[in-house]
Amino acid sequence: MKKTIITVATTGAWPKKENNPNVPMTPAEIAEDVYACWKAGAAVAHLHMRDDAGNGTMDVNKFRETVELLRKDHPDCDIVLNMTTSGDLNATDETRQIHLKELRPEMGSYDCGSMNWLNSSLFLNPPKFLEELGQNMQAWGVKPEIEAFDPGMIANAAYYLKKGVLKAPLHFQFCMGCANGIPGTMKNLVFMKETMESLCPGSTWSCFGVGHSAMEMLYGAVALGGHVRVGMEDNVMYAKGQLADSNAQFVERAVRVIREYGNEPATPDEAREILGLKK
Amino acid sequence: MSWGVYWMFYRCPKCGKKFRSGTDTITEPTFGKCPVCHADGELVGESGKTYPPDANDYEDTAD
Repeated sequence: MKKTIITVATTGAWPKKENNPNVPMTPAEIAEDVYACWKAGAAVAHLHMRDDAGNGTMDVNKFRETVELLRKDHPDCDIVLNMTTSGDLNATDETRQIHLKELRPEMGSYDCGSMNWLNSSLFLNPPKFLEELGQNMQAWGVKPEIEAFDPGMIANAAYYLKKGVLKAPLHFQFCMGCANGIPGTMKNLVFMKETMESLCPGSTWSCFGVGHSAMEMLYGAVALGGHVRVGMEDNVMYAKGQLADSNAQFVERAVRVIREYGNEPATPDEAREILGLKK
Repeated sequence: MSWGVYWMFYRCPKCGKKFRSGTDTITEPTFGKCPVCHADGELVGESGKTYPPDANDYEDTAD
């Protein structure tokens, strides 16, 4: 039976308690949330941290505290940890990577290009940073999750693959429906998949849709043979007019969709096998 | 990193209703239109710039 990996993105850098009071913000809240999502069926947890004011931060100590709490309070939890490298637009190249070096998560995000951010700022991932990050991730044994917000970022990944900055097989996260990125439609998802298969054959992929495209992308990913990402980083609403109760609620829905389709949610160890991770 | 829906917040110049449209629905005919009287809304805020503190009180035109 085909296995589908569920990644949960619990927190992100933008939603706050006023957007949804159930968004986990502190290391203790995030650790408990990750555990609940693992029990619900998530195999991978994509982690962002917040400072004490609730803003996105790349503070290595917040990442460390979260991991330590998860390991101490829930030693049975074998979820794959995937740490962001893009949790604060003001972070330096160094602070975007130091947590990977010190904590050695199994995965880390790799945003494969720059773009406008919320029509007000820049989300910068310049060549120097991407080259350094790709080489460091190889050296530190951290698998890049290549976040592609448009097809050009897939082409950029193919370039870095040829240069040896990235190593095959690649794993993509198609980020659909974000402002200034590719809109979240089935036609566009098929195009992203076909572009990836053409430029980076043998890669695996996952996707999510923000806002109104969330369900279309969830069903689309399962039907097209991809993996899925859910959680409050991408959507604070569970359905029209209904705030999400928890991240586990999203995971539980993804599990239902996957099973109804005829697949099974991958366990963390099955995800490791699919993604080529070394535990 | 994602950043959720990019919202554009509006106030209806006719009836005063507060509503919002996400740019992920920019092709919908309801985008930026008052859900009550269908007038073009006056832009009063945006996600990345002037996110209103009472954002949850704005009705989503896609609902």
